[in-house]
Amino acid sequence: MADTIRKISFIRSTRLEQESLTFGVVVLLAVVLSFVSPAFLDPNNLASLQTALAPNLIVAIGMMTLFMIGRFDLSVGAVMGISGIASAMALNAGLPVPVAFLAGIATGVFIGAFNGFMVARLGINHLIVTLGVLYMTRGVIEVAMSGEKLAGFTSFPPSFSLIGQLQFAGVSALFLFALLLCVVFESFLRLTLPGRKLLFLGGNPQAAEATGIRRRWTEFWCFVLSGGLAALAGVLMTARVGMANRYMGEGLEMQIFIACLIGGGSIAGGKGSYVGALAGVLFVTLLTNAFNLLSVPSEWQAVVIGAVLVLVVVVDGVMVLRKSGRPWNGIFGLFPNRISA
Amino acid sequence: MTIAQPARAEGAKPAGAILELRNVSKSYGAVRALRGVSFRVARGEIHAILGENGAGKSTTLKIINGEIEPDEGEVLVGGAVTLARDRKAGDIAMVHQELAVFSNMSVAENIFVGRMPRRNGRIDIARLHARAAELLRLFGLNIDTREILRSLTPGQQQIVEILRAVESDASLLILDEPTSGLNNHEAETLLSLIRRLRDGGHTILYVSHRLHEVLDVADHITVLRDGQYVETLANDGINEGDLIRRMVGRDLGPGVAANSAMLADAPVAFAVRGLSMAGQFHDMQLEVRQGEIVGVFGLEGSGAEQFSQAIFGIVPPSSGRIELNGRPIRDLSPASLMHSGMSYLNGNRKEAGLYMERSVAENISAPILDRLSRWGLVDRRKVLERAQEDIRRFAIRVPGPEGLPQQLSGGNQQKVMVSACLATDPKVIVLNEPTRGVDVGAKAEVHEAARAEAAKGKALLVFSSDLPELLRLAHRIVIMRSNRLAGEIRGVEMTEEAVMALAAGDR
Repeated sequence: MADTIRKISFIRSTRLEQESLTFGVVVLLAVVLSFVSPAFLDPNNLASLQTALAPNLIVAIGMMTLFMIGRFDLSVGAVMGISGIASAMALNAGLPVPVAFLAGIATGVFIGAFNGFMVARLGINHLIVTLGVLYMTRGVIEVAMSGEKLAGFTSFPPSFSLIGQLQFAGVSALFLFALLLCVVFESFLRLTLPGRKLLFLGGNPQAAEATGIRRRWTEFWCFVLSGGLAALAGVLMTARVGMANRYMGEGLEMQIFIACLIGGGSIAGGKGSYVGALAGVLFVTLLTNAFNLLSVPSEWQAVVIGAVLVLVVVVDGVMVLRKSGRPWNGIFGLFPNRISA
Repeated sequence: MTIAQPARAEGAKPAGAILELRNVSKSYGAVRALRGVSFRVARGEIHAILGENGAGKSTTLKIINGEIEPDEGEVLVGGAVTLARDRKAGDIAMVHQELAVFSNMSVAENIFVGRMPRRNGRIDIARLHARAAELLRLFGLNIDTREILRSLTPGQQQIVEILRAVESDASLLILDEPTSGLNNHEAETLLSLIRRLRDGGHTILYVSHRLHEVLDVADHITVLRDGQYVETLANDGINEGDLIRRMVGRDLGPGVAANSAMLADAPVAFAVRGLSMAGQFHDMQLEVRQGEIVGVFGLEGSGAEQFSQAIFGIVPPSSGRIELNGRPIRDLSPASLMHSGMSYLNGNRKEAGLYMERSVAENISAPILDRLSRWGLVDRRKVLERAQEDIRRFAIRVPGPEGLPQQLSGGNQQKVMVSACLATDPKVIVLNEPTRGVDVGAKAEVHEAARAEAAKGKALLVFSSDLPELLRLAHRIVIMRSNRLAGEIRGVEMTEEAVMALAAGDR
């Protein structure tokens, strides 16, 4: 009786179908790039890739956590910006580096807590709350930077700048740190009960609450996490590039959003992984890099990234609907009422 | 046939009653959902609760499960009087009719949810799957415990959900319509699972409309009717007829349906030809003649609800067609059906019935704004006149045509909906639950309006879970069971027994 059980594959049981696909595309992209553009494997390019990847991955970890429970945070780019500025201002005021570092993180945690309070406590739609906070934060940045040069704050103590310059065996410490964070979160997701609870909650919120999972509490702390991680990325980025200005993190929320979707997340919740966040961030970053290397005008980058996103969603939809045996004419929601007589 | 009183049912099991209801009553506003219900459930038995729609089954279950507190009476668990919150926290587990599974998680995770085996703070994944596999084997399921629940059949998912309740060590399991939505084979597997659970010492409270299943599996059967306790029967030599007789017998009141013989020659205004929707209903055939009122009845899970939505294109069917006056409708959407002379009263007043923020007048005139407009501008005077007319005609108690629906009682809201539904002067009228949650007076007025439309030669199709309503209103009733047409009853043959035998019976 039990000996006829149909065993399922590793990728299926770990739910890494989309992630594997994205990783495959990333590898393909890297191989193609190394042939098409000799500059791709240049040490300078690889170094700048790492610098670009690290903060994006850190922010994406927070965003992916929210995706899992069916939420998202559009304020991450602005939080990244304001946290970097907060640290820079603290340093300018002569505060020691660790204090300035923490000041930046605290700014992000505070904004995350505000988002979390509005969504989890007051029950306001997360799109509206985080969009509002994005605008508010950008406004605060403008106020804080009025009178400053366009480049913003540029003089930092050497020990602060060192954080961004540190290397291990020729690899950026920031990048290694982001990877480590990704591994830690993936283990948390796979191996611990709180990690699984994120997916339970996203999969069926009512049923999850009925089994004793604290919905509002979890939502609140996921927003705090997202704000905190965006701030961490902002402070680290400030240390790396040596300046904090009003442009940092602008438009980043959409890049991260798209990376998470491409990496297997779903705004409906209950799905996603941190390796998926890595895959998505790799893809978006590589694509941007490819455009730079091939000197395609940056306007086209947005077009292509957007098109890839639509393609991913369509392919995903087709796969799901084909599995459920629905007819083709209903797949994209076209003419759902037309029936063949 | 032996009729066991609760006291005698207890005698068979020395352990005594695990659950006892004493004189339990519960009202929602003016509606008395339960009136002085008392019965006992013995430890280690399968005890079925049976009753028509609205008999008080779900209220009873909610009280037992600790979701609500009764207005009067006591609930004893293991001989001790309990409060709702004790029962909620205690060892009673309920599996609701709607699946509450995590379709994105593995089978094993669905069974254990918050109680996964852990070691050093981490989930012991090997042990989790070993224990889940053991449980599945015990109940004869050949599924990989790592499989994602979404890829299981509904029956397998239902079993997984029941296993979750089993695993929670509850001594009393409440299963609400566990077989609705399952095919025969899956239902069989489920019933044998339930028997095994009983043999393993669990007590099971089983609610189902399917009489043959109840007779197949239950040790005792408690029948409720109109919120009152009727009888607890020992499942010993009784048959479906015995059960149906106890379930029905409500007072029908005045206004039994007219003879439909004279309608046989009237032209067919509305026809359903082989309409199907995967998993919901199959090969539905139906004709409604001019001047005829046809009722459609089906118990929960029979597919009647989905069918009612599909014929107006709200949920698109997968095959088959609909004809209005002999003409097939190509584009099966609400807009095109309305254009062809059909009108639909939505069964869900709160969610899809009224524009709650707009005035009564605007609600009534919404479907016919084009007729009340001149050169593309709405003529407010005409809108108000039209509303005044309908307010008089349907005796809607409203401060004025500019009043908001929120200020009205449920019955008057319903009358606003009915008048909006009839505003287009449709030839075919589909009424879905036309009197759900309204008082007796409003109900009679809605029925009167429906009869008046039929007298004008309109074709009416009425979906209702309120069987006496259909018996009073319809010329004939078609009955759905297990997602198919089960039969049709007309004229003098229309009795509650006859309809229930088709709706809940074995064949």
